[in-house]
Amino acid sequence: MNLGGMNRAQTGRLIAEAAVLIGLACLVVATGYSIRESLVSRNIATGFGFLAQDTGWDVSAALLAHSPRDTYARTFLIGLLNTLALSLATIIVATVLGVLIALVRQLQNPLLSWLIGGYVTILRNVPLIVQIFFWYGATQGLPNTRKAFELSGGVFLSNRGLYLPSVKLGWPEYAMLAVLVVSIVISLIWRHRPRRLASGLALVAVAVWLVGPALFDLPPLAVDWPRRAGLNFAGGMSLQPELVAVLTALVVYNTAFIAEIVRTGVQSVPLGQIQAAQNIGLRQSRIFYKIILPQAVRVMVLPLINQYSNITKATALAMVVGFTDLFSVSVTSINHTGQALEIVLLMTMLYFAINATISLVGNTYAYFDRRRWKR
Amino acid sequence: METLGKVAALPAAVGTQPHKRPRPRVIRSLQTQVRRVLFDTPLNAVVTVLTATAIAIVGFYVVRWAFLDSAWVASSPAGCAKAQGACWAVIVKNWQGILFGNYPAEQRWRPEVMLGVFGAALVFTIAVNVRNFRLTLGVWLVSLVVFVLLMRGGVFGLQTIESDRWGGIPITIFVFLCSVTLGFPLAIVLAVARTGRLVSARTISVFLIEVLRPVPLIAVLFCTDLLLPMALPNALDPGKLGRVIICMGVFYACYQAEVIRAGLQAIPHGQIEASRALGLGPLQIIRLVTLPQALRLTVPATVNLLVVALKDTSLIVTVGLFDFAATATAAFSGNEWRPFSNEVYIVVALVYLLMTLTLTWLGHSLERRLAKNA
Repeated sequence: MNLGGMNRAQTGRLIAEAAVLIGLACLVVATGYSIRESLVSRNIATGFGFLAQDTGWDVSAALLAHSPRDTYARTFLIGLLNTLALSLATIIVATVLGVLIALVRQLQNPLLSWLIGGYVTILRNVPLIVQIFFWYGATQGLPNTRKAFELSGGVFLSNRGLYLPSVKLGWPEYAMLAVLVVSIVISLIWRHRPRRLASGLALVAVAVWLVGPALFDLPPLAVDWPRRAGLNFAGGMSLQPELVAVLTALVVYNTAFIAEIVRTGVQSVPLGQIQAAQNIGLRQSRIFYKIILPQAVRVMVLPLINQYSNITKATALAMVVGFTDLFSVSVTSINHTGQALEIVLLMTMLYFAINATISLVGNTYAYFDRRRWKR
Repeated sequence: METLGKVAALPAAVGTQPHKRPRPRVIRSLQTQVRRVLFDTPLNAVVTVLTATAIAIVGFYVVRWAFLDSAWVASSPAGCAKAQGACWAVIVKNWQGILFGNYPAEQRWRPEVMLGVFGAALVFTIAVNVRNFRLTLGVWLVSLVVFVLLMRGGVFGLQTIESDRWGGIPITIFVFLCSVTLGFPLAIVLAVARTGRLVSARTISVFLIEVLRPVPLIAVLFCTDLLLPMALPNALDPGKLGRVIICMGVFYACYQAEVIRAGLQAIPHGQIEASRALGLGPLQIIRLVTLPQALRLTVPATVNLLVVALKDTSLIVTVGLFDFAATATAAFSGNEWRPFSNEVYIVVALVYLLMTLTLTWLGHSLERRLAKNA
């Protein structure tokens, strides 16, 4: 066969393209028709007009103020913020714990390695939802508020949740945090002098903030401790038991994964380099900071970013114990409005945006990393 | 310390690569070995003592809670209340419900036989060590057909039992096997389409993968369960179990496709050009040259994904199917066994651990065998 001077392979490809497109078109038309039929037969409204309407139902707990009078748009924002907050908290705590565990494992003690290996294997192989159920059951078994456990003064744990001291950030705190963020960004992008300058700046900022109230008449950090008041607690902030259970499960589960990622990164450094460093007389700590860490971080970043994206997805499981997140807001909205298509689209796009941001951060890091190592 | 041990036997020189010769095996007494690895420096000695103390203390409480102070037999929770430790009676009393869910009591032999069939398939797989891959695959496919025939009934004079009454371990295994059976071929198609030259197929593949991967599986499950009946004419609706399997299969395929794509991209381009020069067509190149190598390269990543898929079957409870985690929850929720939920979840966790570790172990043995053959 020879169409307009094309060879056989080109003709074949053209026919295949056409077949795929026609197949897709048939699928889309048939699905669209079927969906329209069922929408019409169930008398469901279409369009995003519902976003401006009041919900008429309330969410269980949120960072923002909430009421049944909120619009759907605001409720989705509340859900999104809860998902982000839960993800961020999990990411921070699990990363710190995971790195700590991996470092402790570097002590090369067989007994300790065996213990940690057991922890990692067990937690990685049990489904997260089972772990969430487990911790939720554990919070239900806690004593009531009158007999609440007091953990290290001012922190209480009862079947009504976890009570923590809360801090009110004043302008000195914001200033210090801003300087910290700027110096972290600087030291991620440049090396040598700018990085040393940035870490010096960060140290000065923290020092000024620490001694500020005593020397320069700056307002001190306002801490609000929870106190027993009647049958409940007053002051501080409280985390509902659902959140405590979900957060514990997410942290414990992901710590195991992150510990494993960090260990792989550290092990990726060739033994010869470490022996060479020992031979030229570097101390163990310097070997770690100067030889192992910089190379291990490069290996770790991509799996870590992947794990962070897994964490944001895993927060959707919080719904099974009744925590309000993006997914549970979507489910409740669908049940109330029936506008499944629009809400599914909105939810998918929001999750897509979260994960796109995470991979953007990862890719940006990889870009600067490549640039830095090329020099 | 190194020189104190006796050199046991020098292995014969290996081929022509003296630098690859294994280190001579040194036999040391147990005492020497313990001292060498656990107490060689003061820091290590401290770490050993601390770890051992921690293990001893936690182990003591665990053993006391789980075995010494536990109640194994009690007709009601009141019997358990006397015991200080675990209440295993909740398992002993409800184990059939936990394993098989709502399946009619007088027909329980059917899921029991089914567990036996899956067990036999597993033993067969281990026995042949996945050496005959097609035969192993065939055995598992047959076990799936047997599952549907036996659980659903309606043939051979068996009473028909609809899928909404199935539950427990059999459904967990069934959903896992079906979603993988459906997902793996789809993953190959998606990966080939994404690396191939057909623009339309590539676009569809990229779209599907990039849209599904950022969304949590639990949300995809919920949406499929909701939207698929709308999108399909009633006659084509596969039922709740079918919808879940399709959804899990497609979701698994999106992740597996990325793994296979990485494998495909690792094949040197020269091989493809050589095959083309030999006159192979594009599909032949994929089937005979690139895909077999890509699948071999990606065995470790695939095993990881299979473990994830097995764990993910626990999410089907959110659309109202009674998988193992759900039937276990049903054993205590809404009745007076409520305070003993954690005993149930510990057993559930142990069963999942057994399943995932078996899967990982099978994967590793396949990996080792492939490495030996390579």
